[in-house]
Amino acid sequence: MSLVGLTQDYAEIRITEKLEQQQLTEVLQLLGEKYNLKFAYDNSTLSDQEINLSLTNEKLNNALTKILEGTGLEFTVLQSTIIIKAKASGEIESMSPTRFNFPLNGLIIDKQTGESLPNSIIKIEGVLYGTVSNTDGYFTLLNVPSDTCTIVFSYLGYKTLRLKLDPFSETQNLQIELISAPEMLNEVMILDQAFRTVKSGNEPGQVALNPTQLSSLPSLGELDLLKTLQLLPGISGTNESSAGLFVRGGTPDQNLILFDGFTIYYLDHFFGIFSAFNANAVKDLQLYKTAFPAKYGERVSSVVDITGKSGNMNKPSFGMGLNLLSANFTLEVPIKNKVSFLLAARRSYTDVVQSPLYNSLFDNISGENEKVELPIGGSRRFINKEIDPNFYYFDINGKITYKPSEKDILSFSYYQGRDKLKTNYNVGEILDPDISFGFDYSENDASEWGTEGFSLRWGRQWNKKFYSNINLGKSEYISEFERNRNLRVYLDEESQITNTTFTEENDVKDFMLRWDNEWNFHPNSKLEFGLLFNENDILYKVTSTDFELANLSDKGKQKSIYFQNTSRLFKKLSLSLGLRINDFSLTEQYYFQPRGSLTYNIGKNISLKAGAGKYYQFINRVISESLFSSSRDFWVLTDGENFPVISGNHFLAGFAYETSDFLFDIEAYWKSTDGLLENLRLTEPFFEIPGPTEAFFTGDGVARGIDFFLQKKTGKHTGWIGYSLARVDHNFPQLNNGNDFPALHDQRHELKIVNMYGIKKWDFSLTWVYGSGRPYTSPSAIYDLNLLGGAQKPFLYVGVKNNTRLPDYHRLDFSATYNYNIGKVGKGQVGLALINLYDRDNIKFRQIQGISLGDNSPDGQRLIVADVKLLGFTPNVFLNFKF
Amino acid sequence: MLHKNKNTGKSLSVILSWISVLALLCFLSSCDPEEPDFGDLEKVVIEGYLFADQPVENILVKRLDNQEPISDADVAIFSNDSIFLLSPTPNRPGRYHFEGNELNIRQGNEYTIIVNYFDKTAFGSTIVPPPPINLRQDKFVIKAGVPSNPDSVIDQEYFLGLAWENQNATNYFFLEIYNIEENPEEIDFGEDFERPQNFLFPVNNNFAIIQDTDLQYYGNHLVKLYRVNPEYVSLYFEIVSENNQGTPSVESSPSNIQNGAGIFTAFNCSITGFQAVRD
Repeated sequence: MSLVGLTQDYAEIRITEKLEQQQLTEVLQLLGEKYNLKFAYDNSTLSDQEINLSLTNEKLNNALTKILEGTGLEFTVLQSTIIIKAKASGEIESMSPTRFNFPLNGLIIDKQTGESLPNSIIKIEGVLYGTVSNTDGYFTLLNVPSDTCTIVFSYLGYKTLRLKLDPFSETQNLQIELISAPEMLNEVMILDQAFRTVKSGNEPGQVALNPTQLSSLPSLGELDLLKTLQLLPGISGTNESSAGLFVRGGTPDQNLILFDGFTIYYLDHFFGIFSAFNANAVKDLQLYKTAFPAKYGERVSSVVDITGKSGNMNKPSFGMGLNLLSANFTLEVPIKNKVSFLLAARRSYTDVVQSPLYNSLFDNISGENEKVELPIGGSRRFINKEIDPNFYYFDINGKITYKPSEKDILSFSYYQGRDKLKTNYNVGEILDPDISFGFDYSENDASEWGTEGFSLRWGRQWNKKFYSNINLGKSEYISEFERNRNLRVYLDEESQITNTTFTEENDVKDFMLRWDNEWNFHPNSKLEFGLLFNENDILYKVTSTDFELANLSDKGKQKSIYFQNTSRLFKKLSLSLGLRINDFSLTEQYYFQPRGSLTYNIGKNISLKAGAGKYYQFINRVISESLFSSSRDFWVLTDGENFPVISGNHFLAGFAYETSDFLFDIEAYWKSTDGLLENLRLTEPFFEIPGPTEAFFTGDGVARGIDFFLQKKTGKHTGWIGYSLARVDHNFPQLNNGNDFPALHDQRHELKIVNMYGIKKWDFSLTWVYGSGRPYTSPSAIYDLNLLGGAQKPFLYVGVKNNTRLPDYHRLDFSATYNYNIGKVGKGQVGLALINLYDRDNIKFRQIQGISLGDNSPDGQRLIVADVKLLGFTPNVFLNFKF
Repeated sequence: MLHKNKNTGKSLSVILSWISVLALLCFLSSCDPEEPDFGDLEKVVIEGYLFADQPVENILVKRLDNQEPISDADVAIFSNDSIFLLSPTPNRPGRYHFEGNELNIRQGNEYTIIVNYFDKTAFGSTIVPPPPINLRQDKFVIKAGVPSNPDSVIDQEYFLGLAWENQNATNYFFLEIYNIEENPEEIDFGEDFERPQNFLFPVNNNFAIIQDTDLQYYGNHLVKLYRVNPEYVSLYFEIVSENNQGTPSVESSPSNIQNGAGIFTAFNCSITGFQAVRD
């Protein structure tokens, strides 16, 4: 028997009947008429079956189970029809197949919401191969051996559906309805089913993430997609101050982050503490860690492809959440079953109420209030520089999906994420009260940064073999910083005012037109091909009052074409070969990027995998570190000279052993990257002096490592252990005497242990992350020089770059979540998260400065070392509910 | 089969739990960080300043590792295809000078210092800049100290304005003020007075304002306005290295010495003067 496929209406039906000596056909007719149910069955299998049963307010599935008990029959539901058939071991099992090597196609949707489920896996039981549903949930499974096979439909976070075919089964335009795991939480019978948060993907180096299961993992605030990815091997989990992903030796700017097809350039909220994606607005996330396919390009490290939630197609729903930093809501409204509308928004209330959590986080980012000596003449004293920050962030997701026909889907997706920070420093000093002589000095900083984007998409399943998708979109990253300094010197009633303004602006506009196609031209082969037209318009401008200090504005166009053919050979081998060609206007060159991957199945549970590819990137991010002034990183387009084209080569080989209960996966990789940028800036502690104070050096790097992943997928206790052994070396001819040095994100060992335990209505999780120390540069010597005017100043000499390492990183997080029902219509969650449970002092980076103690002897020289620490013990509580 | 899977699941749960506990116990006892690799520190630090039209003296050479002065190095200055050997200065460890009068420091000429020590050659070059142009001032006498009448308005008499040419703020200057009295009298600014820290950095302005609080003594003062080279300006900066990590990394301080550390640079200056008097 099966619940799978029951529509929402069916699931809520209660049966009260007294059945006495009634034949099964009569019972089914009675139920059909009285409760408006649609049954399908073969009369011959139901003959002479007599039912004696009393049902009182029984759920439909329980009622049917009782009715069919002892009859040798079972039921399943397909497209709102309850099919009564012989159990698998019964007569139908022994029926001879009538159709062979035929195609099966259809659409996979969420049973509750009617939403399409992209990237669902469709396999034939007992056979190693299968297929994956496309962005809109459509699938075509070619070459089904016979019509007595069992087709297995699975989707991360949903109960797996097994569809037993028989000679009467429909094979075209099926609508497969899967049940989401949270919807099953109250069903005791399914507690043993899989609740998966992450899943190793079908392709080498691929991982899928299920946003609906994230609430069971500890988080500082909102559910965080990217922080969850950081718990996987191969993705650094020790950079908690950044939601950016360091994937297998790559840096965050080398990752392609797509949200409904448009590129997201800035991933963080709150200076990196949270990712900018609202998990409530995300349906699916696919991560390609290495050797990603030809469909994706323009980045050299990894790809995160996020599909936004389209919203409930069946009934309106509304959800809200609250934690110590922010509040969120999600609204889903269907319109006549053809249109769905989703609006999800989050906003921190940190500018209104500063919770202890906010204060703890903000202090951690900014340090305590500074004590500075202002560069103003006169008989001054030390003055506390009072910082009065006003900070908040928000993001909005909106999506309208329209299904005009069975074959078409139109959608419009919008996203905006912003962080805004204002700080005011105000000081004043009366130099001489007798004559009313003094000054007022104020600094007002205003920063705003984030991404805004939209896409308009049309997907069509032309026929069972051909699907295409056109996507028009734009995304814009902005980072604006403005500092106004006002100095008023007054004497009696007269005053002199000096105003200076410093601005820094980075604006990246990204226009995109994408056309993707899938053609199942042969039972064993699928061809994917497409075009991408992309235009980047980048502005980077720095001005000081009326003086322009920098202007790196540029515009570049890319045209890309790709082909990728995936074939199944000899039943055990899946081979994917592709080519991507880019034409970039600023360098006026073509870039050829061959890609390939293969999976070879040895037996039922074991597979070998390998992949390789060439990658190019035409945009560079330059880091400009400055606390209190937002993200002052800026993006620049490559010009082939000052800012080089980044290129990379990936090689991957691995092994996986998977059963229904657990997965053991090993992947070894080697990645080389050319065109890396290192930015050396001269900084002066007091003044912003214009001049040639910046130098860019280019170099290359090699990352290699092995990732181990052991996952327990089923039962009350689920989780995984991930271990990475890795090495990342960089080489810049003009740095470190041209010798290799470990990259700042080089981490030899990383271990992550994730435990999730569900018991009744409680979910507990315990995660532990360990990382061996990251490198930093410890100066080799300190020396003095005498300067003009008689001053003496200490200077540092660095012999070897990144010559030592920080202490090891480790952190234990815990969370407890209680799930409850709100009447019959809603569900709620209340929980507690404890981050860094044993209050480990983890170090973000180490600041080193030379200082002279006024003694000219060598012993008078000292180094000041200041450790900038990461978060200590931090608790958070949260409350979510949904109707 | 089902029974077997359940057992496997339980075993894995136990394994996961034990590994969690073991890993915690193992790693909570953190290891000592490895010893840093400092590289080759057998290098010299050079502090070499050339002044236009002045003899070469006070060139300092010392060890990088412990700052001990080095008085037995081979030190030479190379310019216009000629090489000039410097001699250690008696009673001044680590100091070198040129004894003859053939080595003239001329505006526009390039000079290279070469130091042989530790079986290595450290070197650096500089070009003598032109002097500041058109240095001028608004007065030659300023008042200094607490006004004799506390109710009087502080006026321009306590400030000296200097100006010079610096189109587009492209050049850097350093201002030095000396009292040249033999027995100068100290200016009394009161008990809580703290001297302002002005004129500590090179500036790319074309003006400066000297006020009485910048001075320590009454009497005649000499003002030297140096035109300084970019390699000297860089000494006042700190280098921050960033490479897509978002965290600054320490780098060697700015230096124009190859195979060593320190500075070799040239200055040119214009001179003027003023007098500070009691109100």
